[in-house]
Amino acid sequence: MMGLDVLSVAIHMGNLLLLFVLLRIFLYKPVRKFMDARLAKQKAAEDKAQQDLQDAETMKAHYETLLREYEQDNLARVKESVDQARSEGDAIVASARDEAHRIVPKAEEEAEHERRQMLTDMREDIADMAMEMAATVLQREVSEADNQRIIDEFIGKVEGSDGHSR
Amino acid sequence: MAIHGKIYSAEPLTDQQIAELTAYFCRKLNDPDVHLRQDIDKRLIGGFVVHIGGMAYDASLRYKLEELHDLMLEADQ
Repeated sequence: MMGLDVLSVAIHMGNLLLLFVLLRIFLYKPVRKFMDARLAKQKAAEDKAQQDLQDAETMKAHYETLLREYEQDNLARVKESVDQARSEGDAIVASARDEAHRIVPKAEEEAEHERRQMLTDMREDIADMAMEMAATVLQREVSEADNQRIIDEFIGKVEGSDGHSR
Repeated sequence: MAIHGKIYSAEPLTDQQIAELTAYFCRKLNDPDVHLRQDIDKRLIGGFVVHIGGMAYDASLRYKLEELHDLMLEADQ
């Protein structure tokens, strides 16, 4: 009959315990250490990646801010240029309007003066032409007898008054 | 002292007319010694002009036309 050998059991248990201790010392702890180191390395890498991501996000936000500011600056500059150009345009228009208000009445007055002068000149020309035509007709029509009559009448007036003297 | 004058006309005046004018100017200038010399100026058209004693007496048709000319211009203004 097989009976339990206590000694064997004890030796086996001792062996097991020893194995356990040895495994714990030479296997479990190093492996655990290795695993912990790997975990720590992994976590450090993750943390670094997270940090890098945050840094990238921060930089992105910063550049976006810079870009927005740049765009706003540009817009402000463009708006300022447009406002300035508009203001200068208004000033030019106002100046031109003032100049026109000054020039137009003067031009109208000069035109009116020229018109009146032209009419006067025309009247003088017409009067001159009428006189010359009358002189031509009279020279052609006045006969010697008419001349004698005219002279006699003039002499009659001279005798009666002082005639025309100058 | 004799006073000399000139009389201009478009056509020659008769001696009668010159004598009448001479008599007039003798009275006007209070001098019996007045002499008028005749000259022809066709531009006068008719009538006469006498230059005597520093004065000019214009009884010509040209003068009348010029008066009409001035009246025409004055009337338009």
